[in-house]
Amino acid sequence: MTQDRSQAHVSRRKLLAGAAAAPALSLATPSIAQGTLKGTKLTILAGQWYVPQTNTLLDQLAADLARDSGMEIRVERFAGDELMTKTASVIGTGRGADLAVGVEFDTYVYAAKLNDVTDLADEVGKNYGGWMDAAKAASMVGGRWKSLPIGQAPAAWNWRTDMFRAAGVDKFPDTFAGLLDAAKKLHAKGTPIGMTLGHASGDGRSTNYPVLWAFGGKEFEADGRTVAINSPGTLAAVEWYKEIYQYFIPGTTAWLDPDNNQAFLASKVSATVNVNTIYLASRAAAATDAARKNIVDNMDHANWPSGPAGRFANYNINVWLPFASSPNKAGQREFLKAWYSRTFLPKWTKVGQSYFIPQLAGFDSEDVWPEDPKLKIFRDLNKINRLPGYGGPPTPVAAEAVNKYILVDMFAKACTGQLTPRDAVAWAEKEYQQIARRRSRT
Amino acid sequence: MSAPLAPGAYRSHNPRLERALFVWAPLAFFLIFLVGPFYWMLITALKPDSELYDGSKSPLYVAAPTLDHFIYLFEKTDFVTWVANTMMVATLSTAIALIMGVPAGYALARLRFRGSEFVGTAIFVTYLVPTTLLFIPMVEVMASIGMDDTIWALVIVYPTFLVPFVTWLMSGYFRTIPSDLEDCARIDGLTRLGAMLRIALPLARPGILSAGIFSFTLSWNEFIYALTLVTASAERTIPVGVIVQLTRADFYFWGPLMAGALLGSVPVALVYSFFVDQYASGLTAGAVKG
Amino acid sequence: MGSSTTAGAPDRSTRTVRRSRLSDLVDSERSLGYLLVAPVVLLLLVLVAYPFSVAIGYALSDRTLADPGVFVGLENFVLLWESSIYRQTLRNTFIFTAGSVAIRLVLGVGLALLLNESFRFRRAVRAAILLPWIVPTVLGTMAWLWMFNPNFSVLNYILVQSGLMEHGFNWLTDPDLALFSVLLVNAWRGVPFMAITVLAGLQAIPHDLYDASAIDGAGKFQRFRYVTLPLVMPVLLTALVLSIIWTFSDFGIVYGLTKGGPMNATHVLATLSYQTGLASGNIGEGAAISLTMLPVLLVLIIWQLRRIRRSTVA
Repeated sequence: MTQDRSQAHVSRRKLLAGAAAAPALSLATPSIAQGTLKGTKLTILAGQWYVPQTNTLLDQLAADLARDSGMEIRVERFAGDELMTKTASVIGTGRGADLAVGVEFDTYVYAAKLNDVTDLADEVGKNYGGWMDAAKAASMVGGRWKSLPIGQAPAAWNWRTDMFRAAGVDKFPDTFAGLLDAAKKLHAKGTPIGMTLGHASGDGRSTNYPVLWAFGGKEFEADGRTVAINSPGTLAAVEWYKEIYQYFIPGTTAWLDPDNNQAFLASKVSATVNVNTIYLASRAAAATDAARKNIVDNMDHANWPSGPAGRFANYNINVWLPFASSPNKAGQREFLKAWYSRTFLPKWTKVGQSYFIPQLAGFDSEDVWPEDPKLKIFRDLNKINRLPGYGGPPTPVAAEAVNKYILVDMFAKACTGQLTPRDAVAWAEKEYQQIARRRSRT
Repeated sequence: MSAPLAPGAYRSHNPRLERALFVWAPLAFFLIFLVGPFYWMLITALKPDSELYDGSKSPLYVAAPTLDHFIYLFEKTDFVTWVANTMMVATLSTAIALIMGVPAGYALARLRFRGSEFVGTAIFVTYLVPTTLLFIPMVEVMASIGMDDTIWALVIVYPTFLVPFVTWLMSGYFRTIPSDLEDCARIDGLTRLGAMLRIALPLARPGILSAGIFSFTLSWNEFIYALTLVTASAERTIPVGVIVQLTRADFYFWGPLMAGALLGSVPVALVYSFFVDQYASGLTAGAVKG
Repeated sequence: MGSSTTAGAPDRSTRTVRRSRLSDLVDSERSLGYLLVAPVVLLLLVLVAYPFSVAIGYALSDRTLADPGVFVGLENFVLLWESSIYRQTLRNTFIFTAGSVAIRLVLGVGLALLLNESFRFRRAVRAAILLPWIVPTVLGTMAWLWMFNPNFSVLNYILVQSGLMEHGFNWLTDPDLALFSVLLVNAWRGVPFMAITVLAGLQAIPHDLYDASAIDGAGKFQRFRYVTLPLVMPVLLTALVLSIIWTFSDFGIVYGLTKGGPMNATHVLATLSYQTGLASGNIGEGAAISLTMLPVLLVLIIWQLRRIRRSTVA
């Protein structure tokens, strides 16, 4: 129902925006290359974004552009890990697609096989009040834009206000000591918290980097090559984790991406770190499902607590990858222009319910935010993203460490008692060094 | 009938007890272990979403069963197309694998020719090369012959792992069939080829059927090539299609997923059982008849 | 057809027909042999040998998905040997394979003997036990993922409700148990294959052999040991070898259940290769990981093939 309302709202906006803003902006005039695009083909690999309307709008954009340009456009969808495999296969073989939705590492891992889109990025930045730092970090390699950021999905603490209150905690803790204390109380009440220590490709990052950084730990020095994981900060983070783990719900070392959602939806955990999909799913089912309505009424979102070194967050990022192997570079650019046009991007952002948010500073003052008060926080969360490798720039070395779950496993080894905190950090250091050494050859 | 045990063997025991102990008890174990998960799939497929995470009820039955997830599968996804695609790929690649692999298996088992041992081992070794290693060069090879991004690529690629499999299964199978019948036939005037076609192949029918069934299943299940060689959603196979349309990064649509798993296996199992029955009951008689 | 014999054949037909050179050629044991294996060899040369040699090239280079890289000799293998994750993975792969194949063998042969008996609903049972083998791996694995779920495990529900345990098992959470859990699912998929293959072998055993042994007074076990087992041995060994290969290189089950976690306790060579070669883009190193499967399998297979050849029925 909420979604219906926002849809109606959007179509009104679309008319206004289209009439007023379009003529002034070159991005909004997708007719330049019409003649040359006729008869060409464009295959786009996309994921399944959680909010269905964002997928529908992409299809619609492709259909409209195809009609206007005479270009044949196919949008082919793959889910999470399968999209990654498919993209890797296109990069490796130069076959199968012209454009794809990628994740943040893709840009710097695949930079050599991506087209330079610096001019487009500059224009988009100009039109929307500038790109945020997280966007530049994700999409720029050696000072050039090799992809265009789509957005990021801010992860927050999803917490049950009723369960916290019952345990004597009135608001979400603002320090890591406070979080540990709350976890103890909640555990005693039989409503523990939990976040993943398993090989979960999305949640594994967004729940573990913020802890490392908040205690002053980092993976690399500013050069992005020198391994710096073995530090007092990291050790403090591991020790904090080891302590709070005793009060977690059992099983988090096997949690994959859906598990924290499922546990929260079943009221088995009182708090976990996740994007807003738990809330959106509950809200969508609340009308017919009393259990879900109860969750909607009794949950809220909160920012990460502040640690000795500050407050940090890590979110998954999506970008458009323009494959250099594509024989249809003009078509690629035409699609990207249409995507970032004023008639499309604000509309797409608005229906997205702050699930994926473009990292464009100008949106802060635009009407692209959901009305729901429980989603308001994501507008501010959007400003604090840091990429893996932080301390240094994001690099293929940092990406590989993420893909090998080194950080997650370091915490897990200490939490489960397989290694002492000190040994777990030493283990991670060795793994990081090996990856760095392997990568330094190229 | 096909029981190899002579009736007299039970004479001194309590036949009922023995049967319960040696037939029904192990059978129950096998059914629970092998088929139990399918009961769970069925229950999950029939459960409305509201019961899925509901800890207050037993997860082993459904309070308010619904066909919604099956309807969703048919109306909101391309399930029917995926089934048709998978059927087509699996049938064709199995046919190719049998046509090439059965005679080769016969040759390796029966005919003495220089290098046969080497060829046999070499064929088998290709079966050891893991898909995770091969698929990137394979996509390139397919692209170079203009076969990328089409379901027909799978019809060509699947035989690469089916043929060695069939060849080896069949050469093992031909070795279990005594060769006297073929020798006799050759005395009666058949050529070697004739003896193979008219004598050995009919005798090997159970082996051929099982090689066919297993090839079909290997194609039916294949995931990595189906994912990387085919882009178009209209040309996907069941495993890729179901996973791609019914999982999000952090949500699984358990109901339709399990409905898809059931519909993707139960009908095939029924067809297979028909084949298995064919060779299970028909074979021994055939062998004796010669 | 049926009109000629080769000169070399010890027995000849009574008919005297002019032999054409072509039929001569086809009827010689050697040429027919070559003729029958040629298509297979050709297919595999083009579609496996070539990509395989390309992949070996990858393994000897520091190629990434985005960069062709340079030749580095055996450096990838040296790096692997130094990696604690790789060594752990190697160990996991052996346990995974040995455990799963042992279960497949014992349960598979047992089930085949059982299905060879006559009982009511045999046909339905045969259809039902095929299901784990038929259901697409990724989907069957999803069902197990849900059954093993740390917080919603139906298996634990049953164990707890029936009073057998207080809390149930940490199926995928405990590192040692997780490896057992993934190998159990692998065996679950593989038992029907073993059973049906061996069943086909059992059905091929001529009845008179049993009759003869019964007359000789052989007991049930003796009949199994001296009649059944030797006769199904070729089929059994073939199925065994195939099971070993499939398990050793299995990817889908670990990928679907744990992605190699917790703490790499369930990583097998195929998933590590995938994670390294694709997810991280190091296809050189990924190829090297895959390649290390080969020597192990090769030794095993050549040994087994010898045995299969020797067990040929005369």
